[in-house]
Amino acid sequence: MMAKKFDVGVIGGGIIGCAVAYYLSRSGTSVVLFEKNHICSGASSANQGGLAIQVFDLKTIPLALASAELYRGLSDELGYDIEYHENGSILVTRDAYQVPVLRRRYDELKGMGLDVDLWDDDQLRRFPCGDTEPFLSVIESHFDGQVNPFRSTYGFAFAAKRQGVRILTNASVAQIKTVKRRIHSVVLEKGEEFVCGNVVCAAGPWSRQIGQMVGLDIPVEPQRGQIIVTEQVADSEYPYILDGDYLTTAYGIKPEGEDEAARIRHALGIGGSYAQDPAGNWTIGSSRDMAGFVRTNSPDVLKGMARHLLSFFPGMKDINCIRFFAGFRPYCVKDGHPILGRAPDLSGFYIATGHAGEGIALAPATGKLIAEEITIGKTSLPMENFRYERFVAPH
Amino acid sequence: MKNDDLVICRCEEVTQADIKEVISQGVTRMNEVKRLTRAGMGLCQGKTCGRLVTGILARETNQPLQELKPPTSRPPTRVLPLGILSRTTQDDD
Ligand SMILES: Cc1cc2nc3c(=O)[nH]c(=O)nc-3n(C[C@H](O)[C@H](O)[C@H](O)COP(=O)(O)OP(=O)(O)OC[C@H]3O[C@@H](n4cnc5c(N)ncnc54)[C@H](O)[C@@H]3O)c2cc1C
Repeated sequence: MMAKKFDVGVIGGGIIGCAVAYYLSRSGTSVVLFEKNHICSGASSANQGGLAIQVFDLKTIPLALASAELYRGLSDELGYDIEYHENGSILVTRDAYQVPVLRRRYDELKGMGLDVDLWDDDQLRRFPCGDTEPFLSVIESHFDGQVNPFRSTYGFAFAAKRQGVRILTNASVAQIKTVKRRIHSVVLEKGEEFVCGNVVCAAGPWSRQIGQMVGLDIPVEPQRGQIIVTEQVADSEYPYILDGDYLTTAYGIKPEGEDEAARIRHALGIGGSYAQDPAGNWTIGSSRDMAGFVRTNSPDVLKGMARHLLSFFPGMKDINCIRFFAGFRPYCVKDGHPILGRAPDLSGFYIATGHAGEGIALAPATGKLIAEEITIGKTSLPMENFRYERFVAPH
Repeated sequence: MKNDDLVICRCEEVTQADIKEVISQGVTRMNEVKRLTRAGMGLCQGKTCGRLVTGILARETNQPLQELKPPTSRPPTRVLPLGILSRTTQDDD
């Protein structure tokens, strides 16, 4: 039997794979996407859908801003409401040791020309904290936002399909054949073979397994995150709130002089991230640990997250939790940054993963850049910071 | 069908028409219907509407009812105020 032929095979039907497939399909390339379960069954189905660009690593911010720009027009472009709302975010702290950290962050963001405010005493006092002390410092970002991660992933997938992409679900990739260090074909677990000169690894936390098929070590492991979902409550004026500890747990920005309670939170990987969706449900995060592919919730983390939240907003104590879930961030164990672009020494193999806790925020720009690299060989934004070559010691 | 205005999931106010619409876009699994329509994501977590949604999906996609996997069910089994969660240890299930 003749193998089926495509220009590009995309491995993974999460938001990254679907975005790559969508942007490729706009250039008239023939694309097949392989997903071992169903569309949006991995990390892309278990997150907060936030674009908290103000806390991102400075190197990643240009990519995130490019993504936000694409998100703005995406509901219209895809003909599907992805519920993108640019309603800003606030980064708050009530810990003295985080105040200088926030001050530094504010200066950095201002230095990049971004639309942020550092609240003055009057604004801090006006924020409704119930009967607790006012915050010590708050950065308000006016460009951060939120998006529905399911609808974005399916929106990309539906549009890609309309533009001719073959989307195969229950299609687990088992083998990638190469000929003289060139990609030749992809073989599924069920035995079916697809000839394609280019392959994009967008397998999220499972990307290391895909790399192994071509002898490439993709240093990505699952970083578990847990979430509490509450019942629907009245709309908050500030639907996206992060606390200073998020900078510590997600980005390793270690403040001086943290207290005992903070040390315990940091040991559990807890840093507050609170997002209210358009329906009114709050998602309460965040936590980070390396527990392999164990998709369960741990009681100490749920309790720690609830306790930390109530230390900020004690008035939320009577709001009901309706659901807990866990997911795996695709985390680059070498430096925590995305790995994007062609692989060295293996013609036709492209990597699009390692997005950690930012994959929803970075998906549109990632998809567009990878499609550009494959179809025209150059990208509209520099990708040097994200290339695999950074792991290869210079000779 | 005239019953399309029928509210299937009362917690999230999802109608039969909403469910048929996502099925017409090509989804075939309970998890997908749930996530795209929000049916079963409300206060009762699908205890009331789960069977109805499964029935619609089976009928619209010609899949045998008993072969449809129920959507992933998430703890807690009963709603729990944040104040209580912050004080107790929850069983991991
Ligand atoms: C608790 C939590 C909160 C988060 N909050 C946010 C947030 O607020 N904002 C944000 O931007 N990001 C957030 N993230 C991160 C975000 O969810 C991820 O970065 C993003 O979803 C990664 O997308 P992906 O497509 O790379 O991976 P996935 O969605 O995991 O997709 C990879 C796909 O590859 C498939 N696959 C694997 N192996 C194979 C194979 N051999 N053959 C075929 N298919 C295969 C899998 O089945 C899977 O569907 C959060 C993550 C977690 C866990």
